[in-house]
Amino acid sequence: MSGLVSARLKAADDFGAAFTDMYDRGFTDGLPVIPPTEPAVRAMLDAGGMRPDELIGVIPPEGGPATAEKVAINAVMSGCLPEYFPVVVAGMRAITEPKFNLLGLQTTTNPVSPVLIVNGPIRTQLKINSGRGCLGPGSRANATIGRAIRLCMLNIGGCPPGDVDKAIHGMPGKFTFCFGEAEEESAWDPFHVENGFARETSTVTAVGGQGTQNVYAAFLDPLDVVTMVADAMACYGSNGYLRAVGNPLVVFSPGHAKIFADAGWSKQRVKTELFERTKIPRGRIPRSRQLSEPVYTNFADDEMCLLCPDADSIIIIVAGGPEAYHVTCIPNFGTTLYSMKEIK
Amino acid sequence: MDTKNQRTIEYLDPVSPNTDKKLFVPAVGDLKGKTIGFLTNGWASYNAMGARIEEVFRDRYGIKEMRTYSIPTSCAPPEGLLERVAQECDAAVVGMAN
Repeated sequence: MSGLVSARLKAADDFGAAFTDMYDRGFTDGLPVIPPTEPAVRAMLDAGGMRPDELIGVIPPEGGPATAEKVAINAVMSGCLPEYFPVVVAGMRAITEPKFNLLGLQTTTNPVSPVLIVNGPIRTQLKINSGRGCLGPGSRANATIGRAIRLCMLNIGGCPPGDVDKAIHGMPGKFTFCFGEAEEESAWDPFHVENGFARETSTVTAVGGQGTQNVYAAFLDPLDVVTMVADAMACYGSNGYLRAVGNPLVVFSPGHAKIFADAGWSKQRVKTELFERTKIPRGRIPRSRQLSEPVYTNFADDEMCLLCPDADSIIIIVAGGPEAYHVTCIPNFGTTLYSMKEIK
Repeated sequence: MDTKNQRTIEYLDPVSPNTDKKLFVPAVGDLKGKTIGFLTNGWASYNAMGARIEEVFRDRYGIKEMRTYSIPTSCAPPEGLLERVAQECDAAVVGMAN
């Protein structure tokens, strides 16, 4: 293994003081970090079987090269275990795909952040939570894998909040946003299988999500469930309507998936029903002058504005606790398309 | 032990040195007779600001021409656009105005 080339920095050998040192240098998200010592970084690289100088991607806006070494340093800081490193690397590959439009995500006034969805056997190996509370706190893997991506975006991409990251409010998911799909509890094929991967393959998918919108939809009739969910998705201030692009993400519990499946509804049917119900007539959106020009600006009153181009653009993931009570909608930034990478 | 009674730890810098040299070009210097590109991504506020900036660039700095290039809102520049701007202009400004 070749040598590590990063500058060596020194801090007092005290956890609090070391954190303060790194915080003062602008290296953190504000939460405590693990000092990335050379042995810890080497352990991370060993777990991924990577050379320090391997280039994973280039991070805008600064165009910082995300070498395995730099990504490993940020993964250590976030609290990742070495065995998480292949997921972090795949996540970095996903967000640096051109179609993901990372430059837009990094610098926009929108609160968008990469949402990482993990599929395949690695979920159970790493104890990535796909069940109850999977979008919340409690799982080291969920918390630190998502956070590692954020720290890479900050430190490698040169994107400090406020100065370069221009999010007007931001959102809590910008600290970390990672979960698994509850494949074993789902009545449908998991998302990576839908995308042509074998069930035994592990993948990570990045989606540009603006936050979470909870929908209480404790109905037993599938039509009522999609009606409630589509109503939440059809928020005409959602970025998707600006250009009718992007991938709105809906997280159904295994209970809701069962209701759909028992009624003979495929995932495709759910997407189609949602898509049709998220069309908004232009007349419902104010016509006064806006600061930007959405594609629907000159539509007739009865012309439909679209949240995304078609039903297939809606992503459905099954995750969370089993009850068919709550559904989570994750609106899309619009000009970002999901990116899926195999975890190797 | 690094200094008297002060233990230290050594850690690795997480920040990437920017090696993408394409981001750094020499400043254009005097604007007189130069062609200036403005890249706008559809914010209406740019229309007013851009017009005023063009006026100042012409009257005060004597530019030859200001060219405006459109980028779809919230999108990366379309493929080849930046190369075209580099070919056609002496300097360019991202006129997001949002």
